[in-house]
Amino acid sequence: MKLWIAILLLIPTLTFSQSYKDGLVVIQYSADFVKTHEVDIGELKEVEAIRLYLTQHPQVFKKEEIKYLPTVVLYHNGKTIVRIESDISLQLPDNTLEELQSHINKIVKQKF
Amino acid sequence: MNRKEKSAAHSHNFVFMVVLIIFTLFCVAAQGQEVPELDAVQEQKLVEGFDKTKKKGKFFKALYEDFLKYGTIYIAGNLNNPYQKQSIDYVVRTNPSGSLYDVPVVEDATEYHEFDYRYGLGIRRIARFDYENKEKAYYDGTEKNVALSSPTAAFDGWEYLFHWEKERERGEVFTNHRYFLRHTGKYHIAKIESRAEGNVGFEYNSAEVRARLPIGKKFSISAGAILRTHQQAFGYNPVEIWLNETNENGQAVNPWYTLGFEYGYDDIYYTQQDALGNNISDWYWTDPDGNIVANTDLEFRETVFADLMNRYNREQWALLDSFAEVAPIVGADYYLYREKFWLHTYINYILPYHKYVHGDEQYSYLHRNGWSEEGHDSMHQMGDGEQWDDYQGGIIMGWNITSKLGIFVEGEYTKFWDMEIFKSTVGLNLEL
Repeated sequence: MKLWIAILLLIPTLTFSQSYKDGLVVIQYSADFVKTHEVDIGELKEVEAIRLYLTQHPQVFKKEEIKYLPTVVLYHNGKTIVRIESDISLQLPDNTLEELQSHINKIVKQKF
Repeated sequence: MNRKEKSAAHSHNFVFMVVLIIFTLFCVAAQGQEVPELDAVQEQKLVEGFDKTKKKGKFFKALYEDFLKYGTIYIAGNLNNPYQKQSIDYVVRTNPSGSLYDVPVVEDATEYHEFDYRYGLGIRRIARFDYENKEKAYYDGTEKNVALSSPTAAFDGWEYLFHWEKERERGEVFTNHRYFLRHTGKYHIAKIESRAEGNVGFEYNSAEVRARLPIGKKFSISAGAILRTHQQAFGYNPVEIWLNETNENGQAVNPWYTLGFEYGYDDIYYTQQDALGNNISDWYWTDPDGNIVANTDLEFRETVFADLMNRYNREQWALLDSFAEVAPIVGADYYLYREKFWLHTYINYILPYHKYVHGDEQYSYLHRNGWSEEGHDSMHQMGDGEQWDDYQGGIIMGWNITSKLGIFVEGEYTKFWDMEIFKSTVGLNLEL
C-alpha cells in the first residue's frame, strides 16, 4: 500500500512535464489577424480541441515550425497524425474538418 | 436497457420502419393524384409533426453516436480436450469368486471427463489503452482489459460489457456472467458491475460514483462512494467458534467429537489384548448406517472429522443471506504513453468506514473478531465492530530501450475483505 502511494506521488513529480499534445488532440495554430479564417474545431467529436495564438505562445509556434496561419494539427500521444496548412489566401481547405474527423474516427476505432 | 428490452425495441423499430415505408409510398401515390390545400392550423400541425420526427431522429443518432458506435456484438464458442491425468490409475478388485487369494482383477480407475466446451454471447464497448493490443482479430468473450479494473478509462463516455456464457470443465457445467457499465467524464466516474464465475463460486456486484479531478492530462484523483456485495461470510468460521466455546470452568462446551454425534456418527469404546498380552484401548467410530469408519479417535479426526467440519461450515454459511456494504473510496490514476515508453499506474483505496446495508451484520466482516469463548452469541453485544482497509493497485510499464531491446513490468494487487489476489509479470525482450 505504502509502495503504491510512493510510486503514485513520485512518478508524476518526475514526469510532470505536461504536454499539450498528450492523448488525442487537435490544435489550431492561429493569430488574431486570421481569426476569420479559422475552422470551428469545436465541432470535431471525440477529440480535445485547443486553439493557440501566436502572440500568446510564440515559443510553441517556433518549436512546432508553424509557417502558415492558420495551421491545424492532429496529435496522438505527441505524434503528429495530420497537419493541414492554410494556402496563400490564408484559407484552410474546405474539407479540413472532414479530413480531421476521418483520422480521429480511425484512431478511436482502433481502441475498441 | 437489457438485451431483452433491446431486442424488443429493435422489433418495434423494424415494425415502425415498415409502417413508415408503406405510409410514405401511400403518400407519394396519393400526392400524385391530388394536392390538398391546407389551412393555417393544418400547416402548423404538419410543422410540429416534422419537428418531432427531427427530434426523434436526433435521439437515435445520439444513441448511436454516444452508446452504440464502436460496440461489438459477438457470439462465440469453443470445444477442447478435457483435462486428463498424465498417468493412468489402476485399482485391484477381488476375484469374482470372492476369495481374497484368487487372482485379482485389475481395473482402470482413471477419471475420464467428457470434452470441455464454452459458449457465450455478449456486446462490448471497452476501449483499450494505447499499450494494449487486441488479443485476437475477433472478440469471443475471453478478453481481459485493464479498463475493467482501473479507475479511469481510455475513452471518455460510455463503456460497457454484457457477457453471458455457459461452460463445461472437467464434466461440470457452470454459468458465468460479467455485466459492466461505466460512464467516464472529465469530472466524474460512474460504474456498475456484476460478476459471477460458477467454477469458483464467485459472485460480486458493485456500484460506484466518484468525482474526478484531473491534474494535468496524465494524472487524476477521484473520490466517491462504493457499494459492494459479497456472498461469502468473510472472517466468519462457524466451526472454529463452535469448538472454542467454553463454560465457566474453562472446559469445552462442544468437545470436538460431539460434532460426529451431531451428524449421526457414534463412538464405541473397546479394549483389545495383543499377542504379547498388552491391552490397547480406544474408540472406534461408526457412521449413521452402523458401518465402521475409523478404528481409533485419531483416525476419525484425521479422516471423517475433517469432512464434517467443512460440512458444518457450509451448512452454517448457507443459512446466511448475501452481504452488501457501502464505503467511501478514493483513487488515483497516472497514465503516460509514448511509443518507446509507457506507464500506467492506479490505486483504489476503500476507506475504513464500511456500513453494511444488507445481510446479517453480526456475521459480517465487520465483526470477524467479535466472537469469544462464550461463543457466537456474545457477538450480540458487539458494538461498532472492527473496520478494515481494502485496496487495489496496478502498474503497467514498458520501455523500448533500443529498437531491439525492451523491458516490461505488469502487476496488480487486490486486497478485498479476506481475499488477496495478485498477479505480476516482469520481463525483457531482445530481438535478434
